[in-house]
Amino acid sequence: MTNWSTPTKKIYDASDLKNFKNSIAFVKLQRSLDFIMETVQGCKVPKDMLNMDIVTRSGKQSTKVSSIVTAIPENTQSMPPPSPTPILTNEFSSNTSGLINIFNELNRLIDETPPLKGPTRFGNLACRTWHDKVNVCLTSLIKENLQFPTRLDVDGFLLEAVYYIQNSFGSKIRLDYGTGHELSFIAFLGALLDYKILDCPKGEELLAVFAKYYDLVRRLILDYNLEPAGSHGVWGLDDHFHFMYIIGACQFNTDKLAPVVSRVLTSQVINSYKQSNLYINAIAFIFKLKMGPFNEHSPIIYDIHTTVYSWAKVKQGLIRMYMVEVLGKFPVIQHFWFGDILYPWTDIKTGKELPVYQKDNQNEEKSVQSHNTNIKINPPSSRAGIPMTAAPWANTARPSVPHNRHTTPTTTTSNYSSK
Amino acid sequence: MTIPYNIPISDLDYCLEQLLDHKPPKILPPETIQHLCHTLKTQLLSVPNIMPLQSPISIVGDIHGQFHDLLEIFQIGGSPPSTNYLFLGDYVDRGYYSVETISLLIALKLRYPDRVFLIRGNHESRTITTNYGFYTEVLNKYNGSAEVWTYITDLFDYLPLGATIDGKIFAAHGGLSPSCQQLDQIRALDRFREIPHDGIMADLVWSDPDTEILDFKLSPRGAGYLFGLDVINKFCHDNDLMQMVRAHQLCNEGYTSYWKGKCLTVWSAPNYCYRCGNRASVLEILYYSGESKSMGEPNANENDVKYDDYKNRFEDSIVHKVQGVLPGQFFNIFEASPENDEDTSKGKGVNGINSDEELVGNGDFFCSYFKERPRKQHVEYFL
Repeated sequence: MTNWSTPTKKIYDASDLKNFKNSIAFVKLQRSLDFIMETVQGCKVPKDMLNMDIVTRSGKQSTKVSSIVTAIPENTQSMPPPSPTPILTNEFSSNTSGLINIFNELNRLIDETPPLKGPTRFGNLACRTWHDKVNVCLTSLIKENLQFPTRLDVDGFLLEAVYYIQNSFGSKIRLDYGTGHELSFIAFLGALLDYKILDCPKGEELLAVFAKYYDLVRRLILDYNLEPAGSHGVWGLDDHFHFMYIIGACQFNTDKLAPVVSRVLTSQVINSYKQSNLYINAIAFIFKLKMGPFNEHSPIIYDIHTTVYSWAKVKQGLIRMYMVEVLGKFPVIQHFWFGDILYPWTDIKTGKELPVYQKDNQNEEKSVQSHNTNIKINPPSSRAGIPMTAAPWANTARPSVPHNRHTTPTTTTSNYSSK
Repeated sequence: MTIPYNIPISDLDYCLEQLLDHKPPKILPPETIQHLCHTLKTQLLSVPNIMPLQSPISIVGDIHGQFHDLLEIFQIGGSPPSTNYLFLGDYVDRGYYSVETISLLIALKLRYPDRVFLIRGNHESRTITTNYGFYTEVLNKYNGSAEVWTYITDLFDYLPLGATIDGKIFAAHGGLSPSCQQLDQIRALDRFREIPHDGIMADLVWSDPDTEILDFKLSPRGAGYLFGLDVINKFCHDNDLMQMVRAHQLCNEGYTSYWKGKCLTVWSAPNYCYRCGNRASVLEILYYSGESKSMGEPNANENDVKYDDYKNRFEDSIVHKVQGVLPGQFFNIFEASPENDEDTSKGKGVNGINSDEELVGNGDFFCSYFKERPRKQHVEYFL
């Protein structure tokens, strides 16, 4: 019988991606994605769940939890679309409320851990302190706030599940955040769904949880200047998120009152829907973050709204893109680790463990060493939280300062010219 | 120097017009790009790895496809041929107008070969442009074809690696290499190739200065090194240099001076990635101010007129002390071009910050231009 185990790295090379696609882990992830997309269709994010400060540009940033309470739409002219079946927070299941409590607590830890003052060269180091605080209390926070089925080995379950939520707030080492971390949160949520810790949640409940998650992460991004992980500049969908757009597109997909796709990039639509729809909310965040012509800094989203006419097509396109750009990209998926029960590295057809192509022992040792070196030195990043370009081959081990530097110039020259 | 092959000036002017007279700029057809790249390659074949250049000259750092900000540089700092320019690389990736930016620079180099100089940055590489946006941009702007990317990245292999100014300033994209003590070692390299992962050529485009160390240290970027005070002092001493000028690192003020001006970083992409809020600069090197005073005096040469400007600008000011540059140098600082000032979509405001009415579907010039465009690659996900 298989036992719970701490997740470990299995994907070392781009060629491992085909094994990933054949793994039980992949199928389970896909099942969770499908369930979430299906459940949120036609639903709205419950009122006051999203913090409007996060997506509103203002002179002074105030993202503290305490300022959330009254979210007044700026545009009084706009009509918030009527919600046919409003769900109140007191109708949430106790575990949904528990998850929201956990996020409120993690938010409070940000309040407690203000960014360090003074010009910091890299993403704000206070973020590492926040990660440390979270790592200390996360397991107990989850135990305190969630109720588990009586027959579940809670400690075993958390051994695997906590890894995924821990990894969903960005990298403590690199001080960055990207779609891989977003996927890790989906994996955590998938585990809760699988074990009926979230038992048949309503769409609004899932949306409330996602709203709290995205707001927390965006506070981290803003307050601690987190980098977009692996940014392609303007040629990516978004600097940080992808599934958020899919959820929002699903929300609109069966909603007769959804805005026309081609009018999404107007202040009217953005103000009317940024509280209730995650797609619109994500776009409002771009407007907060970026200055300049929208079609230049976000050309893919711009093209969606000038060429695509239905939310069904938007949703379908975003999902296809997600399969290629997130689940199909080695730089993203290499950071997804595998335990034995929640997301096993097991062939879906044969039930056997998939191969792990580690380098030979010597290389393995080297890469561990170089990994440690990377921890000691500062990660590539910049004052403003935009990555300095890192070499795509950066993960491979390389020697420290070459020894030949003390050789006489002429020798070195001849060495080089002989090459 | 013989110029092996030339394009008629009228043709080059036409290319420049295409890029400058239209808003947004018109991209050049693939055949034109092929022709331009081929011609420039033949010309660069005879250019040494380190170009010997003279002041006055303006040095430009990373641009990263920020086309409008490049035009802003010509606005504030004068344009070729009346101003000489040395560009330190990183023309492409991350921004929206990499294709237009590199096309303009190629056309300018061909049009004013003795006024415009381009060296290679770490982004002038096949691997890096595949990962950081330029490749995707070409696919999107050229109907899914990577042809233009191939022409341009092939041209990158021919770009020189550095320059000296008045024999006293060494300019390169990144920094120094532990494998290189003499400029002659760089001059001896076979540069006509993709940038390797390590060695002198890699380090020149990847390294960064670090004021907290004295020697070399591995760079956190995964390529190149960090180099400290002892390294730059020894390199300058051994090669009879006063200073190194480089780009490669975002600076909030648009420039950074290390070790009292011994090493300068010039950064020319304001509000980098549309979100950093940083300023940008161009380093104007107006005259050489070496040990011998007479070198700094106005000589009876073509620069006489300009020298009076410099005199007023410098001798009455303490700009070089404030900016940490050497006498005769000046960081001309600028912010994002007005093109980038507003949140707009097709020239109209959005998100309630600027007034907006109908945003999508009206028939203005901008819009009709985009509608003529071939279908973009990523749109295929949505069909």
